[in-house]
Amino acid sequence: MEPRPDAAAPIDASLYLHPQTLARLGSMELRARHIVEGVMSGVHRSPYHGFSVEFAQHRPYVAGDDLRHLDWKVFGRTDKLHLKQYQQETNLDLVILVDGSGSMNYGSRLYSEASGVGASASPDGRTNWTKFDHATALAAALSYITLEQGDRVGVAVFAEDIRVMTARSSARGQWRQVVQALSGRPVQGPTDIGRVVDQLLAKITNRSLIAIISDFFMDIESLRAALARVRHRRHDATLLQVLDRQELDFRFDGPTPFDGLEGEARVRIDPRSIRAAYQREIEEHIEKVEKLARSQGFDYTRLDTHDWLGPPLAAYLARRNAQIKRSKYG
Amino acid sequence: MTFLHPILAAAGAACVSVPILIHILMRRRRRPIAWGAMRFLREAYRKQKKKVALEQWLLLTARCLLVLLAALAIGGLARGGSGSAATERPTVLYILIDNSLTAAAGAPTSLERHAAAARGLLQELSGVRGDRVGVVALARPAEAVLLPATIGVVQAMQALQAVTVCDSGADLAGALSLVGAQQHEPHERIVVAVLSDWLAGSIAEDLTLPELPAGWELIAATPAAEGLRNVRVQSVEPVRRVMVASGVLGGDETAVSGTEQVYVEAKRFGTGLSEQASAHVRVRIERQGESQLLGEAVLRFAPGVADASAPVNVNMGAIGAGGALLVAQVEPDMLARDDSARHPIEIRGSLKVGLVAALGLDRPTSLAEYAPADWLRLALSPEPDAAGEHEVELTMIDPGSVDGPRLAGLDAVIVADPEGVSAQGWARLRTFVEAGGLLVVYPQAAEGAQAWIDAFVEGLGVEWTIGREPQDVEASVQPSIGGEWKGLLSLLEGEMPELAPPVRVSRRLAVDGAGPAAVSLTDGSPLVVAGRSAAGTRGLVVLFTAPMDPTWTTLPAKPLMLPLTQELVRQGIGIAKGAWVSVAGDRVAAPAGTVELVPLDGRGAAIRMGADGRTESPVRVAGAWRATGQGGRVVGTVVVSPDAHASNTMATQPAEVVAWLERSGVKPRFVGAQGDDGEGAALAAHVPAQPLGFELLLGAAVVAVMEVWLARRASHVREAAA
Repeated sequence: MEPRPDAAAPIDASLYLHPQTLARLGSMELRARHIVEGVMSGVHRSPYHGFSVEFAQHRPYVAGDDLRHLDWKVFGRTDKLHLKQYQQETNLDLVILVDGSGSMNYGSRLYSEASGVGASASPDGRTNWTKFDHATALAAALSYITLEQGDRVGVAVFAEDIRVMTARSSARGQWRQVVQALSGRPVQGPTDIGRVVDQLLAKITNRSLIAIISDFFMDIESLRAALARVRHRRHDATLLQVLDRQELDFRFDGPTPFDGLEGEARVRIDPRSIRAAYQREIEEHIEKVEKLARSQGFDYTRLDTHDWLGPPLAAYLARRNAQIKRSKYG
Repeated sequence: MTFLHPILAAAGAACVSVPILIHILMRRRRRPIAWGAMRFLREAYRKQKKKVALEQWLLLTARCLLVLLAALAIGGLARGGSGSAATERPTVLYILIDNSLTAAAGAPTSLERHAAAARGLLQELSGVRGDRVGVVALARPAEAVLLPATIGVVQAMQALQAVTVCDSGADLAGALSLVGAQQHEPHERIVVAVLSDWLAGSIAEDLTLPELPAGWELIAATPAAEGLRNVRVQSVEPVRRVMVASGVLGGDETAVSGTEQVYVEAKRFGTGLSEQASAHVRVRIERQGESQLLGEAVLRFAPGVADASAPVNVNMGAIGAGGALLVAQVEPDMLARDDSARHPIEIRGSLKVGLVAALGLDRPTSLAEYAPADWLRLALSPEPDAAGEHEVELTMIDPGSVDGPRLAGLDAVIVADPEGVSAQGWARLRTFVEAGGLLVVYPQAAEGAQAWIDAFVEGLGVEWTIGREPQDVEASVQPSIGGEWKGLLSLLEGEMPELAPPVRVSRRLAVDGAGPAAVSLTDGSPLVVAGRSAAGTRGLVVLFTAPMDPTWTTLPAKPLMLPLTQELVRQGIGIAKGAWVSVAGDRVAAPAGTVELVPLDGRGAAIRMGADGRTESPVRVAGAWRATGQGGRVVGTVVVSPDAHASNTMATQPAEVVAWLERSGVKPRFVGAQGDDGEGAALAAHVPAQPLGFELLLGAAVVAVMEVWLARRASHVREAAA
């Protein structure tokens, strides 16, 4: 049995963020807090200082300017009139798109595999930890962090179109909205990312950071077009590709029938015979997704459902800081 | 190609389905997996589909081939034989082994060599394949030693061991008929192996063979390259078949004594016929387990002549009355079984003759009062012998009293007054004749028509045409003896020119249809004719065309009367009784009243007689038997001689053998070589089976390596390990 974390003992962030640990946590809220505290235990808490009015630059006084903004110290030293110019405070709008298509319903890890403590199955009876579970946990964690920092966050679950969406808000009740939106289940249908992005862009006007959490088992050209539209609307984006390790390793023995989660016809095949070819195909696709993200100036992070959630969250925080700096000084 | 263990091979071949079943079951038992990345899986599958299918098929083929090769190795796949398809079928092998007379020749004997060859053939059979074997001995008549064919090789070995040489010829036709009548499955391969040296004695004289069913195979031992030098004693016959004792051995016993003549005939076969040769022959008499040498002689074969004969003067010494065997034997040669000949002889104290005549109460006092019966009585018993006994015991029978009891025990019956014999009397006389008796009939010495003739012809069943009215002739007796029955009077032949001419015949009956007469008149008409009764094989009927009456002929008063009557009775009795000599291979005939034949030498079992006067089963070996009747009464002696044709040890050309065997409708194939120590092995090699186990296992190993390589390639083990 895995030992319970002791308050006096040093906290291992990976313990808090590991999927198996998360799987033991029944509620989405508790799961998100766990994740965030795990992340914050390893990073500086300065982001909690908040964002107030900050000095940006000086400019020469012109007639008609408000004398309250004159910098008298500069006038005393240089005998010239300059106005203090301040950066307007900017809230970060985070929009999280969670893929709820059929392919996200795959998971090769048991729900209670690691610890054996807690529920052996999800509330809806599943015994495996799916990519969708991983994605929603990540989305919840991101939302939690964002809300904790006073930023606005909105969540959407999509497949062929947006199925559930919460408006962006930093209000205290937003957390409940987010959790409720993430509590659904994937559908059997495929993803239509173009349509989803169009629907999303129609609803957001100000610049936002769009986090797309998906396996991106979709047509590359559609994704390219969708990201191009995001870029065109001057939004920032980060692509969080959630994959199951088995999808990468493809370690099956003996002839096995495979049924498509998105309604594809059954394929009876000996996995050993096509493992290499399959791995080439999926690696090539992943590479294309990453390149596509990079080419648009977006972040790309790959997540393994068997790994902990630290890296993507850290990456998110770093990305957020960088964006804030750009908005203050750029 | 053939299988040493076809059932194992079949079972192994069936195991080829195991990899296929595993393949199918492996495909079915897996539960489907719900998969998200189907687009990549399908794309990879699309690209790899042909390659994967090829690899899977190659892998499956390799596994099946591996199992198949192992099955073939276990099944004992062997190369060779007379046809791969043929040798894969169950074989029914019929071994026809020559145990006829010539099979005893050589050392080891031909039979022993062929038995070894047969055992070699048996070793080629496979019980697992369901092969069967049958054994037939060729000695006539062919004997089913082991039929129907059985899968028991040990049983066949024992059957071969039980086959012994016989003294009859080879009966290949009978053997082929035996095997041709057997039942077979349609898929069975039938092979008939005839194991013989094919000496001339083993070749049927009439060259007939039954046709074998289509598809049968006929293999034969290679004919002997050379014949064997062999002398066969054809026969030994005394001049008189029934000897009459003329002396006293002491007590009540009588005996013959003095010198008698025995004729020995011999024939030589095989090599050296063009050379002059000789053979030393000894004649001895055997009776009651004792053998006594009687005389010796040398048989001389002229160059280019195969036959030789010689009279042997034998000193009869003092031999008591009873049955005995006269045996002539030459020095043993390559075929010892025909080096001797036997002949049963009978030594009698006296001959018992019945004279059927109506005699008056008073004996004649002058020649004018002599009736024909008186003349005959005088001729038969001229005077007592030295012991005061007559060699011929004469019994007078009234013509009206010819019945069974009176005829019983008689050797001959002379009818001087046939008019008085009734139809029933003639019928009883026929029974007497057919039991081996001699009947001599004279016409009635009377004027006018002979009324008895119709009853005689009908009663005896002779096919003679006899004129009822006497015909006047002026003729004398021909000095020559002739006809089929000249043996009756052959001892008189030298004296006839002197004795015959004085005899005049002035009246006689005309007889037609009796063939050449034993004694004829100068006008060509017969004086003495002889023959069997209608269905008789024994017994003898002799008819004079003139009664012993001076008004018909002067014979009664002439010197010829006595020797003619004596010889007629003595030799006639011997001829009528017959010699009871049979040929090996026949059902042996024996004297009437015989119940069984008991070997004279005491070896072997008694032979039961059938209802037709012959043994129930054929007798294939030569020898002598005592014919015993009810209660063990000795009826006579029976001799079985080796088949004369079977003694021929001349070699036969292979082409002649082939031509003969092809009459069966199957072209024969020779196997083995004479004189070759490994004839059996050579014969067995007709289905040379060279096991391919090593090659198959080597092939299986190669396929196993291929399978491993294919399996690794198909499962991408190398890539995973990398």
